[in-house]
Amino acid sequence: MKHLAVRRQAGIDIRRVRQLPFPGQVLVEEGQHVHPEDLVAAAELPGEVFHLDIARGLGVEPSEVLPCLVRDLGEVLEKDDVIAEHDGALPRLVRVPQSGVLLSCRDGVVVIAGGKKTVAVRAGMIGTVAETLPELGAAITAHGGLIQGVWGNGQVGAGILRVQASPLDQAITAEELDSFGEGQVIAAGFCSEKDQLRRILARKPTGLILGVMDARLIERVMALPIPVILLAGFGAQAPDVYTFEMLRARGGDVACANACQPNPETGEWPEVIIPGGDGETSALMPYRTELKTGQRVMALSGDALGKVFTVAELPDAESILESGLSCKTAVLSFDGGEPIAIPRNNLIILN
Amino acid sequence: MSATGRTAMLVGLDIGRVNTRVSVFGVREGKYCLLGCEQAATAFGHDGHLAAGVHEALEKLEYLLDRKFRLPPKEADEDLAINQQTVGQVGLTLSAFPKIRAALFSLTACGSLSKGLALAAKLPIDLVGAYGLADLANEVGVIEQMIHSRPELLILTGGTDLGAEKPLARWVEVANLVCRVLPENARPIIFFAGNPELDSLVRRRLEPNTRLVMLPNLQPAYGERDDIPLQLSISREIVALSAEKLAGLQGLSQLAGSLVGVRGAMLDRMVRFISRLKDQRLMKDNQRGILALDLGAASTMVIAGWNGQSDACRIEAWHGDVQDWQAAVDGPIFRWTAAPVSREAAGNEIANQRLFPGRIPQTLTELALSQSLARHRIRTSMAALAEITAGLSFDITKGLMRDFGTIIASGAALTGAPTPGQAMLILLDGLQPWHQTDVILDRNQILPMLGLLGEAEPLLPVHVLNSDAFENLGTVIPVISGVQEGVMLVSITVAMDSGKTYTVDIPQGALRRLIVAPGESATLSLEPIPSADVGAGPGVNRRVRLTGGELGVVIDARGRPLVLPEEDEERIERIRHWLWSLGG
Repeated sequence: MKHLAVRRQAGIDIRRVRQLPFPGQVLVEEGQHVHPEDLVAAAELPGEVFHLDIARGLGVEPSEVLPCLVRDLGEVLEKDDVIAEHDGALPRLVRVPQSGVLLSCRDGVVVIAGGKKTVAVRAGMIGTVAETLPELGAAITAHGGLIQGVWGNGQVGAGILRVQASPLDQAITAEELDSFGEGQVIAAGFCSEKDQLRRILARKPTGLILGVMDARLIERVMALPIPVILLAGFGAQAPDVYTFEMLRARGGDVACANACQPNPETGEWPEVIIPGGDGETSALMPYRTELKTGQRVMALSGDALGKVFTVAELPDAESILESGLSCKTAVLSFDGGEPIAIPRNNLIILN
Repeated sequence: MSATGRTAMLVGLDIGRVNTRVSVFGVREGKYCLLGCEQAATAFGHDGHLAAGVHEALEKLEYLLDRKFRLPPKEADEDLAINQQTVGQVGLTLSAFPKIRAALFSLTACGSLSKGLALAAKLPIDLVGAYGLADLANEVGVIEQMIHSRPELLILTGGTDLGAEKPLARWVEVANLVCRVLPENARPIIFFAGNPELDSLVRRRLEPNTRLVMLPNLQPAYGERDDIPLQLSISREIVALSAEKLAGLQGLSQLAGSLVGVRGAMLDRMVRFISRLKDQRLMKDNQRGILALDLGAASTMVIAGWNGQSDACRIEAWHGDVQDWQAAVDGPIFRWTAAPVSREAAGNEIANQRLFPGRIPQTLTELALSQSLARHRIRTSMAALAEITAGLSFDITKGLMRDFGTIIASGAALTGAPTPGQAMLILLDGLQPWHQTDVILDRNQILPMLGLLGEAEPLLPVHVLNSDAFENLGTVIPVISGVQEGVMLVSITVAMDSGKTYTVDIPQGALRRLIVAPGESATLSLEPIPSADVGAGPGVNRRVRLTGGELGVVIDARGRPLVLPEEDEERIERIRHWLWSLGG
């Protein structure tokens, strides 16, 4: 059986495709260096649609309008262009009040699509354009640390990474926050209450990486304009030290956070990319992979929720859980601790 | 001899958001039956391949049934090749899709708009706009909304046959303008199911600009509804759009040929079929109908069927905004959790369940929360169905007041419950039926697949429905009374065909199992007190002939609506007591 897997690796080649939902204009070139906020591609749609009563404007019957039109359907019009004229006793003409495309003329009324609404995709990371996709977007590559989370609030941002140095089972203190400058990406173990969130936000971070967060803060966090990524989910449990050590090693470097919602169909996870750094390049890992002994996994249930273990054993026989359900489990070991058994469905593979 | 040959097996592939289920049907003693059913995790992801989950499930079945369903081994991630010596036909149902945005252009609220909304409620689509006659006064606004939402599908309906033309013609023009404004790749596929008098206008105006599908009128005459062609056509399109985005789906679809469908549509088909069988010889007032409930990982679907017609509602499993969910967690989900847990911990657990729907409840607390969540999903989806279905008579507090003779339930929250009693309690607490009801559990989740495979083998659903593939949990007889708790409500004498007889007295507040062995027939004589109703009116005696289920017969005298104690410890104890009453 294949299990969910997230990438937490110090050095890896990363390739991400950014593309429009329909053809537009690609704004980058191959080899171009990009930053998270850079536009990769954009397309324009009309921002508004409006009617123009030509019959009234010319003082003619609706049925008489068509011969008076001096523009073709589909034609692009600029503001004040003449769209219709009538040589009567009193010659009259109608001008368009704003630019747009002439869509239709029916019953003496024309419909024009005007204004602009831009649909765009941004780079979302620091990297290099490896390949452009004609009219759609580009593939961007980078080498660096990749830390994927399990929940995000949908925003994108970047900044210098600052990581909680104090023990992760304690809330990050106001003193430690004060030592961070403003406009940084802050990584903290957990956030369990509004006041704590408020203290963190007072440092005006450009991104937030948390081990866990209380679910009651979801509404507030969804409304934030900065990316917020959770590494282990919701709760009050201490986050895993392993990932935070990785983040601490890159403290002071630029981190790019793409806090998209997890998408099982596309295999996307919210993620932090920290370009550069040392470390052996690791092989790409699929969205789902086989569970094997020796792998590092994160538990998703029970008292071990959010903790990281090593798979010691994969017994063939099913076990009966406290809940009364029976399933295959994995026996997990933790440094210096007693091995525990967790349902295999309740594990996410790290690396 | 059937088209597939009566000795060849039929394989059903059901691709869900979390699990892929494979079921194998064959012939034993001259009748079709379910030979085996296995499941594996659905292999999604940018490098996933849906065939991988199918391979894994088939491997288990090959071991179980000692048959080879696949051709000699290939890489698990490659397209599947079926052994046609063993398998006569493959069917494929899908219940996991990328979100597909759709819009509806229609006319009157009592006519095509309501019919269109009822149809949309059955489909796995994200309805981004539904417009009726009144919206024609603001065509410009509609076009702007369509530009903003960019639906992939547009349903255009309205006017009965020989009915309204002009308003529908205006919608055709609006659809035309939308198509001309949007880039070619962003234009919706248009399904026209309106007044056929406009067929030639529709083709002339829309075919040059986008893909157009012409279908029979959704509302051929006022009050009538013919939604099946539109439902099936849109379902096929949903599968085709999904195949573009989900690796491996195209290959699986090719294996199944024409036997590919959306799970919800096939479940709807079976509900209509079963309801027609049950009700066709009954007068309208006596038609009880059937209710189907599917609690999937991605969505909840409830379908009410009467005499071959159905209304359905499909809502996303996590439908609603953040505030709705916070209110639900703090309110009904917390109160119906049979374990001591804080509201904060409940909120975190529910949020984690949403992130990882494939998790198995490990602790008693996790189980209690997941079952409370299941109750909540049942209530909210029934309430949504009641909004669009006249005569459903469901109230989120009082329960299901309409008489449905049979409820068929499926979904991991029910089929995965540790005991049948827990599954039954979730259903009784979620639905609160007021009338006698047979509760059936589709443990293998095969009912939709029967609807699909029945196209190739019409006898297959008939045979399998009457087999032990479906678990009869038991008949529930509610006793409705407003008397004080503890007061004796009804005396029930159980006379089994085997000759054994016993009498039991049921007090107000009790939930009781009457021991009638599964499959054994019995006659129940119910003698209620004057203020208690056992199904024939207050105080009226009743004799009921029935067959025992897994839980025998369940007498639910807890009252309607169900009331839980305010104090947490007492409340938890009450729910646990009910659980124990049904076997734990």
